[in-house]
Amino acid sequence: MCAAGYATMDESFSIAGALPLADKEATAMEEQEFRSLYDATARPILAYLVGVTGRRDVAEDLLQETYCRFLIRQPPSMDANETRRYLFRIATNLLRDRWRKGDDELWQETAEEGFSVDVDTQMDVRAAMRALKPRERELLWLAYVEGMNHTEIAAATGLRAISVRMLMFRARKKAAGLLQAERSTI
Amino acid sequence: MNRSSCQRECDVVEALRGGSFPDELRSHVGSCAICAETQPVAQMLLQAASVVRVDHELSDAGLVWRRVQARKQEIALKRATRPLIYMRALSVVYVVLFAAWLLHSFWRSSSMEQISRWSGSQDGTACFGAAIAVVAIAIGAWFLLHDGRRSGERVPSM
Repeated sequence: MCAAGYATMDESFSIAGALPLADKEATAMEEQEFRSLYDATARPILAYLVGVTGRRDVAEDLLQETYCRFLIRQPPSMDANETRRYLFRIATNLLRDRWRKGDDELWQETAEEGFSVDVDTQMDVRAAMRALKPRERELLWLAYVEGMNHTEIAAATGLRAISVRMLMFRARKKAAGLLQAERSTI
Repeated sequence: MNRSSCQRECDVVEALRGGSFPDELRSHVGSCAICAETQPVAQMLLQAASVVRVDHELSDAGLVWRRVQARKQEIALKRATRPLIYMRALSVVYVVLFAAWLLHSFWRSSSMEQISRWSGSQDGTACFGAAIAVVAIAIGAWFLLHDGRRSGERVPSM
């Protein structure tokens, strides 16, 4: 897989020193820093959450929860890519929590909310996404949309790199088969 | 040979992202089973991602920030009241044990005998002090329990 991810974050961004809440000035600084982090990272994470859940409302809730958890845990100083991976990890864990509760069934009922454009390719996306397992959706999205390599995907999902390779292989094969079947019926 | 990945898979994805698919890569995709699967899947997902990114407005960072601050305050409040919760539990245990001990001692000797022995003893002052302490602890425990119930209604759970 790709050696370097498609990081869209501003590389000058850093979360170091943004943690103490000693006085109002420090709070204002921290908020500003948070805003730059949010602006740099939120859009791809929202896209990931919508892509995997198929639900815009759910994705927005999970996005907010992702940043809440990030700030509450206050991780030590990280560079931009580590922060990005860490945020994806939190988002992935939140998705997993949802699936454990059995909430993934919603994909089948209201997936249209996530992909509102009515063109052939979007029909393909819906059909393929519905048929894929949640973990398969995650892996394919992280690899092909976020451009993460197997190690980065492993860090973002909590899986081992070797497992990622095998799961990716199966997910790709399954998705390709589904797309082919979908197109042959059109 | 049964491969699970191809070194050029990344090039295929990069080319799709960039929007230009060189002939050389096209011919590779034609001859590589892995990349032939990668191309339509990546294309589908990239199209989906571009639609999502264009269509969906982000929530305001300030809103998320305020939510986080409120959550932090809740956590700080919980941490601050944790010792009180322990104290409450300990005081309940103390009162229960004391009541059990008292009942036990009354059971073993007649109550009137016990009272007269206490009142006639030289340690009357100490017994009186102990009784006041027990009453104070009982009142304190009752107050903590009562107050805890009221604050539990006010503070939303995490």
